[in-house]
Amino acid sequence: MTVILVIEDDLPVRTTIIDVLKNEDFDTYGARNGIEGLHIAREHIPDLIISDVVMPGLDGYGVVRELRHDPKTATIPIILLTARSDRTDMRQGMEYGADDYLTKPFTINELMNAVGAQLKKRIAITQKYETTLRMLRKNITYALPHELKTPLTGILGYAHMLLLDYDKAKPPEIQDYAQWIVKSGERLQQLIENYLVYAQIELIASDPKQVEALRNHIIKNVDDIIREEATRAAEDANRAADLILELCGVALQISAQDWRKIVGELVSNAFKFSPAGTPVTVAASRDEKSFRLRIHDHGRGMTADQIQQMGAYMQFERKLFEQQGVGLGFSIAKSLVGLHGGQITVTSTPGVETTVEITFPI
Amino acid sequence: MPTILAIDDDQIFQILVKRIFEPMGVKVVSAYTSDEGLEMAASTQPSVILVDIRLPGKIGDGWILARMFKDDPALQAIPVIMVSASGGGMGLHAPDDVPYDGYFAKPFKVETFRDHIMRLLS
Repeated sequence: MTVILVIEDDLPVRTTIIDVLKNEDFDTYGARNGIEGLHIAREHIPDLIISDVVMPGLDGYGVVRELRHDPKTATIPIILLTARSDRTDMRQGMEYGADDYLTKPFTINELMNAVGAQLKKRIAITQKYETTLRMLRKNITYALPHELKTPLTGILGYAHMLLLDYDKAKPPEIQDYAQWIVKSGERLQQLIENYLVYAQIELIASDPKQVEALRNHIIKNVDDIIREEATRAAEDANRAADLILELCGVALQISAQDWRKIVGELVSNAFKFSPAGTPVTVAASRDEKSFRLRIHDHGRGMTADQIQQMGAYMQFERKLFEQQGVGLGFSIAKSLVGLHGGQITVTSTPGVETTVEITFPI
Repeated sequence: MPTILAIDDDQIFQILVKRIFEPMGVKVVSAYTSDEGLEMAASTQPSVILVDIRLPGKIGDGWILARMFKDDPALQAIPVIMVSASGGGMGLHAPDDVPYDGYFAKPFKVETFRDHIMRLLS
């Protein structure tokens, strides 16, 4: 049953609201002030909270602020009741994280409409999270073992070949088997490395001191790493001729290791998802305030939905396209850019092109 | 000469299949997508078809492809062996209505894989 908490110091108003809600088959709790409201909210986690703004002790804004800071109550919809019709006051409540407000006096219809709209929104949000979670679970359960076993098939397969043929194989054959074992092993290593880096980034991101320490690095010229990583990515894809480089010689507050990872992952993706013979542009530029790196390819492109879903353990259109590494590379680059205070945007036209742009303040 | 059609998007696997079977006097042809696989099955009339389950391609994954082979009077007699890195653990979750002639979970023991396919070819 849907549970609604009503926080209101005025007894007749509180009783009336609770009666109306009970009449509509809602379960209710009443609280006489902000402090009592917070206790009840934390203990019973209601589906919706209706709170007065002006109350002795902790007021409605305080209630919203406290609830939003607590992960347990952060997503509960809150409707504020205010006698003030001042827009600035209402805005303040919304800025703290209230979802709607009603100005007293209000009609039963207005109250029920506001309650209905918030509950409907909550159901929609819950469903969206559940769908994402289901997809994530499915990807971790099925995609991850698949990604790990694919290179393992190469390692074990060629190692078995060596064991079967060791007495009659000629040196070039042995070398060939060994090369494939190494190649498969490197692919597996790259995948495992990326998982570790991703886990590490998640840990750093949750510790402000570590984030600060991370930002204390400077590279004198971003170009060297851009050139090295873009060239490496192009050569790995056997597409050195497709690379177009534009450099600008800027110093940037970022660690060399992280800059290398960001450029490497993003440029590799551009080559991975575009056909040979089409250009991949890696263009660095600057203006007075910011440094910009644009990576552009003429590949498969993505829909807006796919861009939104890009992330660790997510992959899309598996039936149409092969994607190695379950989207981890992009997630790593995105997290690193964020940790260093930069921004990353992806724009794309399906089947035509994709542009990834990162911006850092200078 | 007996021919194996290997339909798999992983290049390392494709080369492994060549290294295993070509010294045994078997021709191996490779297809990297389900669309390519369908086309090459018709044009090469192979003796055995290896089908990866998670395949890229517009017509669908390996299960859809296996179903198409078995529905085609010109191809339905050819043994279809499913090969996938997605199985293992609790086993393979095959759709009930897809007929296929065998399944190998990647990674597999080369000797077992080779002997099984060679028996089908003889």
